[in-house]
Amino acid sequence: MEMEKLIIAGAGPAGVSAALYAVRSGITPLVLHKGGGALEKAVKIENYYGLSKPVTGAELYQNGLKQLESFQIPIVEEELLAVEYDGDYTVRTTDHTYHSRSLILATGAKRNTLALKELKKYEGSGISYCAVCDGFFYRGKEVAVLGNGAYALHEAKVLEPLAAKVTILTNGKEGEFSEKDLGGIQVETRKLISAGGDASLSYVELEDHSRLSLSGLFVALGTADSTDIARKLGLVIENNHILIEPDTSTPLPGLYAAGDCTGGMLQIAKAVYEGALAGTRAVNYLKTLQS
Amino acid sequence: MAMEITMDNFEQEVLNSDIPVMIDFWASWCMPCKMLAPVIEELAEKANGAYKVGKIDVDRAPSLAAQFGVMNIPTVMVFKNGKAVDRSVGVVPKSQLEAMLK
Repeated sequence: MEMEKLIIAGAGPAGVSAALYAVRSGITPLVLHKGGGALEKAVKIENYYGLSKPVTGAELYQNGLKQLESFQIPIVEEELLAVEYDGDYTVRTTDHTYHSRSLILATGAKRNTLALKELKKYEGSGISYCAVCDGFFYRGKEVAVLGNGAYALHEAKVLEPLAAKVTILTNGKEGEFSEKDLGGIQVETRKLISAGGDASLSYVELEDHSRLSLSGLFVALGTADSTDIARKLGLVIENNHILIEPDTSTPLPGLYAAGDCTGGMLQIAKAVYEGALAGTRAVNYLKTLQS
Repeated sequence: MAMEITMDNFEQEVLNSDIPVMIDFWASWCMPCKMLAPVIEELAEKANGAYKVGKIDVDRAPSLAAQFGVMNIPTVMVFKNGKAVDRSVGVVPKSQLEAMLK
């Protein structure tokens, strides 16, 4: 098993900044990324230091990747699916499994939220954000996963051996998985219009007013972002952001978080600062392991 | 130390308790439960007779989890006078758990 010293998940302002500070401190990280997230959607950026004329977010993102290449920092374009901790970090992507001593979460924050406001009230009584934690409660029951990508499929696969039936609800979106990947997992592409139940969630209503019975709904929208990963590692999440110490550390040794996923100003300047701090702190941590 | 609550002692230790009881529903395979455990222990250490803290392993006592509609772990509940009066789901800050005991 090959062990990386440091993996950085995300190659936006926080991830790139973390990588640059790590490499300057003597540790070459492995950077995982899957597209530019919020930054790539920014049409014009002009409020950042040193820009004599506005740039697009997509340009800035590409420049960041080129900057990593110029420092010979390895970059892999793979979607992050899950992270486990047992003293070291096991990082699972759509293509590979990596192992590292230290990990920086910098994959940004999802802007998409629960499809229906009714679902919010069933948090704790039918809604879950962690299949590996809560699948236990749905043995022999019918469950659904809300999402349409590899992350939703990953969660559905965790539930498949436990539940009587697993359906992925894409809520009107195209499912990004093949028949072969799905196996026995059902896919429902119709949009959701409401959800209900008495003490706990028992159904969702589809756009044609038909009802799908279920006991549990697991949320796995879009790609697994840093907050999704952190929640499953047991970090405190407040207002959908990871609670970090001022130096970007977390209660898990060697785990840091930086950028939009930690809340506050959703700005490049703040992400760059936190990335720099996380990169430096991760290297300091790795040095303590050696000494 | 937080006491282990099972079907055998639930009624006596929780429902018949004169003081508030905080219960942490957990499982050995749940990483967030492991992260919350030291916080639960810390609250148990400083209870000083004002409240009790117990842990229910949902693997060993699934019927207690079902009885109280626990469908996510960790879930922390507070019982007063034999009734469940508050609950939190997931890993929450210590301050939130302390507030539940007040």
